[in-house]
Amino acid sequence: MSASSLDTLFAASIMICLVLSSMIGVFTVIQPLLDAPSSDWKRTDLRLAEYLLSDEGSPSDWGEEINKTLIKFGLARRDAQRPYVLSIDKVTRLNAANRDHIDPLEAFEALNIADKPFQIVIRPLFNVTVNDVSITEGESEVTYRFKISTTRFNLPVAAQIKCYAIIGDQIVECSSSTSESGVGEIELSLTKSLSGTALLVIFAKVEPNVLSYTVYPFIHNSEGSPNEAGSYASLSPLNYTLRAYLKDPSNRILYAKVLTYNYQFNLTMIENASSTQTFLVPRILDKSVMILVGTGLDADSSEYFAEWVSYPQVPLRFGLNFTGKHHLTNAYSSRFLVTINSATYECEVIFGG
Amino acid sequence: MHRCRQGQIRVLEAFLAVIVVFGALLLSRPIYASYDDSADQEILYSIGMNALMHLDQDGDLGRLISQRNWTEISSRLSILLPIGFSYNLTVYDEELNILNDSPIFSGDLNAKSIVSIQYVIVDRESLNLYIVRLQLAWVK
Repeated sequence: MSASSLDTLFAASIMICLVLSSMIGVFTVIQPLLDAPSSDWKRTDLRLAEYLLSDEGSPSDWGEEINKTLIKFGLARRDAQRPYVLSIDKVTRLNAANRDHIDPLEAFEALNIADKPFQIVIRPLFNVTVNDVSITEGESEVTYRFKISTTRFNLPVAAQIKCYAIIGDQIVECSSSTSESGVGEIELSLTKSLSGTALLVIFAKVEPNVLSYTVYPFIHNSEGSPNEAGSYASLSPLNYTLRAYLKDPSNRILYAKVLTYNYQFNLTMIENASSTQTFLVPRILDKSVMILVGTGLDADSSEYFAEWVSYPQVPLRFGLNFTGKHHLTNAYSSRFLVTINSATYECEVIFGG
Repeated sequence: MHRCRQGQIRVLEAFLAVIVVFGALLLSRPIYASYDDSADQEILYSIGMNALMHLDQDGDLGRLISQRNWTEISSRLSILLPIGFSYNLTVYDEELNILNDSPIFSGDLNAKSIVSIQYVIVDRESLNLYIVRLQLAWVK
């Protein structure tokens, strides 16, 4: 065989290998896109998402009544006058942290559509973050200064701020705002007669009724760090009732409060069993998320502990996790503004293929 | 020397063939099929209408228009719409005269898919009727 023939054969072999490997590479990359849902499919998923947020489901009170079997899945409030007004209890039961949460499989079956996995994400439209700036000790009280930031996808948001600092039965409140750069400062003083874990509850509000919140635990008048969430009791709200499941019957909740943007009330205890305590939550007409706080004395250290939960329990993520590239390209996400307890949240409904 | 040149020419031929094959692959329609999305308009419409409905909660939009508070309308709309959208809002009276003397907009509307959403509102105090037109597009 001549040298040029060998040369040609060699070059051709390399080219064929290159072409084949490139074709495999290209098709591996574009295959999920080729399998992506068609326009009709997207339209159907949009309608399904709208239906899910506009229908109250069956039974219509499946959110409040935990003993009733879910037949049809829908999140709308029973007496809603407008679309996308969701039931506070139906939403709360989507959160896995709630004791009475529903299983995603139960919801898939109740959607009554075969092979239609979905995920629901409900979150505030913007985020609130807090950092402590300084602590000044006086004779009878300690003064704290905190820096508050309100952002949306790292872009600043100017918001009105309402803060509560709670330790034991003491509650201190103040109002402030964040500037156009999304930054603000607050100052609060707590008495030195109490010590232990204190909670700083911050509500941020942007018109029209867009609410966000954060809860920042800090140690007051003591050494160490604040108690971890759930270390004394796990709080579970539903049907305007707060149940506290105690980790140790000797560490009981002594004071329970509900906080909203404009109001704060003490909660009335209606049941005091050895391992659970039950409180009534008032139906506050404030356009705000409710933060339910329980405080008590640690039997060993005689310092205050604090537990909290939001009602509705948002942010939340419910349903299937869409992670793989085939899942992601076959999934269609619809975004809605929804109203829960008169406050506006962002809801993303993702349907898989 | 002549044979060596022949080999080089064949390598060049093979390269040309590769370019032709890849060109055909890249220009073939299936790759672009997923981007040809006729449902875009419907999705944009749904997002825009949803935002307008929330903007008009408790009759706030009619009140803000009566007050000619265009800055507040713009800031409220910006928080209600998702990031990555550009919009232009125009307010008309019942004789279709434009009321907003300053533009209420964010971003550039020069996109492939633009929707126009009409929304009719009445101010609950003055009982004036307004027509709001929201043009919405994805930012390019």
